[in-house]
Amino acid sequence: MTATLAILRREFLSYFFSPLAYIVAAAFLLLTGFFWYLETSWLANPQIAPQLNPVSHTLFSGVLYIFTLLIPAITMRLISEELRSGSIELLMTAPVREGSVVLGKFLAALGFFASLLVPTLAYVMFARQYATPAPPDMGPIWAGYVGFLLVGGMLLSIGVFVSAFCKNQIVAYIFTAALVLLFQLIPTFTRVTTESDTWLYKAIAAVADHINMNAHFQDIGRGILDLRHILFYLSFTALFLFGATLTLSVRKSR
Amino acid sequence: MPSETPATAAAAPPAPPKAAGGFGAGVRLASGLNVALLFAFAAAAVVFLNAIVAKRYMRFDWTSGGVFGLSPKTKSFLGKVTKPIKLVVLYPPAGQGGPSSDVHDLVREYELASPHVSFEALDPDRNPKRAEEIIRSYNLNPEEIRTGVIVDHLGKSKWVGHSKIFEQDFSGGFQGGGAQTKFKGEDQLTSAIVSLAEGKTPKAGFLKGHGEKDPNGGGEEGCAGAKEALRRDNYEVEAVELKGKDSIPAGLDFLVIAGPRGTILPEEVHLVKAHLEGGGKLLVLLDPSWEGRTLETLRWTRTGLEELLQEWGVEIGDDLLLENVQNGPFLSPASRAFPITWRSSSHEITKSLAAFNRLMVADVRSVRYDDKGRGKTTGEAILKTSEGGMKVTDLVGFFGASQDMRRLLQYAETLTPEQHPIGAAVEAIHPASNGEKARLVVIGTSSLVADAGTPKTYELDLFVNAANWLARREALLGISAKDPTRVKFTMTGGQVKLVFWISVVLLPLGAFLLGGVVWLIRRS
Repeated sequence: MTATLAILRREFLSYFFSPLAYIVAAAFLLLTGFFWYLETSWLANPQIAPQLNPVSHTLFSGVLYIFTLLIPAITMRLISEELRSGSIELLMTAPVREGSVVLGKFLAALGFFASLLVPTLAYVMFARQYATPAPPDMGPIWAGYVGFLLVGGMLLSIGVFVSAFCKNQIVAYIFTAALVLLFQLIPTFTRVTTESDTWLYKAIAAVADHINMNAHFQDIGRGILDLRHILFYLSFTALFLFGATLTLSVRKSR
Repeated sequence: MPSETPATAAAAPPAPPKAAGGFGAGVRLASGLNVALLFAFAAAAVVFLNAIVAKRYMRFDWTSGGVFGLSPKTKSFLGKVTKPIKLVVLYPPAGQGGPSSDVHDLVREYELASPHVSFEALDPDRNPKRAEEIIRSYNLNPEEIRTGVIVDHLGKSKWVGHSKIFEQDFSGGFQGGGAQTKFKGEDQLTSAIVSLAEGKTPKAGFLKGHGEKDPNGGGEEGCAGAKEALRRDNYEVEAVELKGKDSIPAGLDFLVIAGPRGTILPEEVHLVKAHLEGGGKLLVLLDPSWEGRTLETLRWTRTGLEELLQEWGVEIGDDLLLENVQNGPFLSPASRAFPITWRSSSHEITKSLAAFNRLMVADVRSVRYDDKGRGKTTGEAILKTSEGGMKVTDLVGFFGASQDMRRLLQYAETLTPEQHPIGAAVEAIHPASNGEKARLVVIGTSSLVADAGTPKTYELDLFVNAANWLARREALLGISAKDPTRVKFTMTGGQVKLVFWISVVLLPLGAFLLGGVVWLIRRS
């Protein structure tokens, strides 16, 4: 636990001493800010506003796709850099378990990701200030932030897993983005194919539907915290972190 | 994010020496397989865990109004259900938010609340074969396959259409179908389930023999669409003949007299009267009616029901109502099809259509409720024309002028536009009824249910609402509609610009500048 905390602290602080972390933050805020500005101008338009969804949907729509681009940038360095520089050998020979290394790095990335979300609370303040006839329901908005942390956690764990494989950070970025995109695109299988009664189709469709990352988030963004959705994100997060730990243990054994 | 030191092969430490010989490679292979197996087991555990929780899970609704939960009434009723209930959702797959999501989410709550409730989400684009089966099995119109929910219970079914599930606001025009203002899905679905689970199928009888609209016919004289609308609402429909009978057939929940053209014999009217006085229910759709081979001999005719209706406080006008449009009355003597802008009341029959105040009807006459202070009945006008309604009472003058547009417009100038009542709903307890309350609905046109003319949607909804009121099936539960709490922003142009500057410029720029400062510090 001490080792995990030490790694977490070191990695978390290192984000804030890296200018590139600020570039990631700037890009994230630019994209979410632009989305928010578009939604604001629509909600301020009396012709369009009645047709729109509740403000919590509006606030969160599109953000998941921004994660696809930015989360790999947060994680690509985590283990790849250690592999590239060789410092992983030191880490592996230190009295630290692989699980602690992975968990510490993951929590640091999650902490940095959470800090990226803090400035977006400004959007919530705007919504409370200008919404009529009453302020928006805050329940779905807070649920949405919980959802962000769950989705972010899962995507970061994918990044940590891929990073444990790749020495090259660019390769880690591309593979992570591809895997994240896969979690978003596989579910479209059930949208673009014609339904069939075969057991194989049904099995594939059931799996594809269940791993629909965006659909799980959709409920949360509406203010429903469902055990299935929470478990989906947490279990896949744990799976990918376990995969990263296994990968490191294989490297150590070699 | 990329490291700041360039990743070059030269900078990398020397690779560890490869294991020599086949034994090392074997160990590595075994180790790799071992890890792969472990990961596969972990993945299987994740799948297993998710599969278990998919069946048994909890949901926490964080919305302030509990928008997504079911009411205690519904939960209590579903708790008593012991036979299978199937809900077929005809909305396309839910996107993010929107009406389709509202319905899909609601139906999922029903499935969660009872092990006997299942649902099928039909996507007609991806499964056209199944869509055809559904259309055939439940006698839907092809356009209805995309909006509505079918409730199926032991072979009996009810179709709950979009206009029942959502209240819509067409004040901004008809493009886009109107904005959803209230979500009444739970009230409607639970009512449908309760009515099916009751086990009783209400029966409607359509009077025949006087040129009425025929529920079994089509074309000009038919009202098969109305019959189908009732059947989808779990009614049985039969044609009824009164000539030579002693009473209205037993077992009828209400009698419909839809646009009689000939005279109803006094003995038949007597049976209808006895039916009402015994606490029966009656729906009368009366068109304006006249006869005469030449202009000079034109005169209003009566069906024989008018006196009876008057006893119940309903006065039928000898008139023809026209709608005043921008450049004078909308007149088409050849077809006599006049659009009427309806002003609905808050009555159970019309309140779900209150926002949709334009129905296409033809041949409308005035129907006024006036008990004349006798206190024998209670009733109200349920439908009115717009303020631009114009009443023609002078048949000779109207049809004489209608041959020539200039004369017609001159004639129209003699009419005073005002709002005219065209429908009434009445209740009363007759001394002979053993306390059973009679109900009567009279509407001044039968074109609502006619198969001829423009396709009917909301017109048939109005008809079915009237049937439900007569059969006492209106608002079976009275579960409150849910407000989707759609909000808008009230902002000036300057405030929108402020949001732009803060969200799109200042916040990202702040992060970027901070990164620049960190870079400068590290460099120095």
